[in-house]
Amino acid sequence: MKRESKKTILEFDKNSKEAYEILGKKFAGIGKPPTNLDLFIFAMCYGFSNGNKVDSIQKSGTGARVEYVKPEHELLMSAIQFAETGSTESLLDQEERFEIAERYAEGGIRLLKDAVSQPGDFLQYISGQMVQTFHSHHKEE
Amino acid sequence: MRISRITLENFRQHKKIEIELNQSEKSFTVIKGRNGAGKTNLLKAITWAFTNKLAKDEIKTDPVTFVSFSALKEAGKGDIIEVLVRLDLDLGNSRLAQLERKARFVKTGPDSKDVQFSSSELTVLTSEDKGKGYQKDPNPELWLEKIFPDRFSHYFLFDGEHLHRFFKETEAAFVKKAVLEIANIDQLEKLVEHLTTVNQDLIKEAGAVAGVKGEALRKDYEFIENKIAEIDSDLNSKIKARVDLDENLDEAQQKMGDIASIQKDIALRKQLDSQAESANKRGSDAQNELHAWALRIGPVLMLSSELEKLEAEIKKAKQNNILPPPYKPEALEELLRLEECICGRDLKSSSEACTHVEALLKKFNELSDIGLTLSDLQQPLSFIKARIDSSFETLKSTQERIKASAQEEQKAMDELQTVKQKLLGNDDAHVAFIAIKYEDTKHALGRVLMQIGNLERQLEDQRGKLGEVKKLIENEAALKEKSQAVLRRQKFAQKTLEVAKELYVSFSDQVRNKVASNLNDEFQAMIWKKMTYKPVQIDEDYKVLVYNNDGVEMRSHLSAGETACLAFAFSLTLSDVAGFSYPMVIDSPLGRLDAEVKEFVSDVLANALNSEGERDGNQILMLMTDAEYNPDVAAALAHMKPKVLEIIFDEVSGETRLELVK
Repeated sequence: MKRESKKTILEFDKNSKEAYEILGKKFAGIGKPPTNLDLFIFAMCYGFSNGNKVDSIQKSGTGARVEYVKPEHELLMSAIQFAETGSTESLLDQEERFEIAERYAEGGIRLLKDAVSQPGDFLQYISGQMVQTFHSHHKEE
Repeated sequence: MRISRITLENFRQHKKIEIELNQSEKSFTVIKGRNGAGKTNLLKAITWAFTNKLAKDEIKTDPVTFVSFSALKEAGKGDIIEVLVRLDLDLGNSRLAQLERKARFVKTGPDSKDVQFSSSELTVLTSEDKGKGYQKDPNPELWLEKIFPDRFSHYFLFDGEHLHRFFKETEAAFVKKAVLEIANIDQLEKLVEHLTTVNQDLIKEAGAVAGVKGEALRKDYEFIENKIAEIDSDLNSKIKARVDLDENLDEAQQKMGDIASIQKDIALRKQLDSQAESANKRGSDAQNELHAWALRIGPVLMLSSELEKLEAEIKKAKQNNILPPPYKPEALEELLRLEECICGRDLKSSSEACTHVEALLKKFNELSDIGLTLSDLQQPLSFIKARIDSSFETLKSTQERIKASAQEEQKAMDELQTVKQKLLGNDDAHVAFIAIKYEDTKHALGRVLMQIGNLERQLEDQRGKLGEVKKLIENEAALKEKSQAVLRRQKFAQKTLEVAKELYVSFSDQVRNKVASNLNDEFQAMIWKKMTYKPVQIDEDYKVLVYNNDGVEMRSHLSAGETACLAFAFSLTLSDVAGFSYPMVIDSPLGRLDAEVKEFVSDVLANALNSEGERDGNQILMLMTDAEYNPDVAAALAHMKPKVLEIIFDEVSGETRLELVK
């Protein structure tokens, strides 16, 4: 049976609020400032692609508002949920999907926090990684 | 006369050095070296030996700049430092001489500045026949004045600047002085001046003895004469000021020429700065676009494998008819409501059949939900896939823009570096200062020229008045016997003056024409546009004129190379007119010329100096920087078979040494 989540926020871990702010500032320099949801999704995917998921998060009361979650965000979270569970039935469970998303996002933001503190241009580093991922993906195709 | 060897001791940076000059038929030696290696001081040493001056107008010998620095450092308090320049001379016809000038300085304290001039000495040893030994000349100063008059020195021992200053508008005076001095007619000019004074004194005397009226006239004459002297002195000072200003203007103009190129470079620097900035901005914008792209597409890229798997799952669901949901459980729901199957089987609640149908219904609903969920994912999936596809072009073009702007920026930065290096020390303020100075000098020159015009008119006026008073005195004197006798003497002096003037005019015209003719020959031999110019002239005011075939005066419009040729031609002409060959030592002869012109001038100079037979006995020593003696110039001068030496200053020992350049 379908299980809709009652969550109104995809939570940031209380220890990672600052890291999200820093990441937000980093990306703010390039044009339109990113929303919390943009940062959450980015961190989630980063965490997932690096295989970094925390066991649980300590809720901070702040994060990305669920009401702004669009179908493509749902798709990305669903892709992770499917990868985690291996069953399409699990996709009926939005609560579980959000929980997995939060744990990967936390894993991701921790890695990003480290990356930000490294010497060199963080944005160059991240963009470089994305370009590399893009090209390897296209090569595979 | 040729210099065969130069020996320097403790002279500026030359602690001890001996230079053997080229003794072949065309005695042509090039001494090259970096700036500060000691080339100019070599010229100064030769000039000092010949004239007891360091250079033209540089009479004071400041010990600190005169004595070798290393000798000053090594010497203790009370030590004597002897500066020596010795020139071994070949006077021709087997006659040799050794000219040695020494100056002694006493070290008075520990500091390099603690040094005082003590004494100087000139020694001349002569040998009438090679190998017969030397004899000391009892009157070396007189011997030197006879062999190489002091006043000739700056026509033969000079720097490139001197060449550059030939033939300026105000240098007619220089040309006149040079020509008359070299031809010894300046003595006749002095005689004319003397006779003029005698003549005037006699007129005054005639007036004085001519009675009361005559006395008054004598006073008038004297007053006007004083007035003329006053105006004349004023005029001379203005002319001197004009010459100085002209020189300043010339220098300023030269600097302005440099400034024009500096200003061009400054404009280029600005343009390159803006190019680099614009390229940087474009690069930065493109980088930002790339970062934005990474933020936007990154999440999708990071999950691309998972999205593919999900897509495969959706495809599978479609194949298995889960998607779109095919199940319509309304019929089952209706049977459960009726509690009876269409086959008549009991579907009452809790019955086995009812439980079975309920489980079936639950499964149907679940599959429907999954199907719907997967169905919902199809649209964003297609949307994301389309976005990835389109981002390929975006990424490609962004990366190309980043690369292109980085290359453009690098190129601009490289060029900027070159221009900045070129502009080192020439900031905008400095350039503006020179431009203002140039304008100021131009205005000051304009003012002085106006003053000169006024004074010349006044002088003319006073001379007219003087003539009138002179006539009155003569009339008055004619009445008195005593004054008649004076007047007769005055008439004789007048006659002598006229003859002397005629002689002077005639001789100076002859020499002037000879110089003009020689100058023309030398000049025409040098330039390639032989058909373009009429013969070079020197007019009565000793202004050098070069007309083209259309009769247009072209001297001020000659190219830099042609002007340099004309200047060299003039120097060579002076040597011809002097009737005695002097060694010519030129410091930085090509310094002010552009690279192309350097090659051209050195080529024509080499040809002119190489003309068989005409220049035997001439000697040329050129002191050149590395930049001047470049491979093109070296190639152009090669057929003169110069002896090329390099002067090297060793910073550690503070001494110079010479190396033969092969």
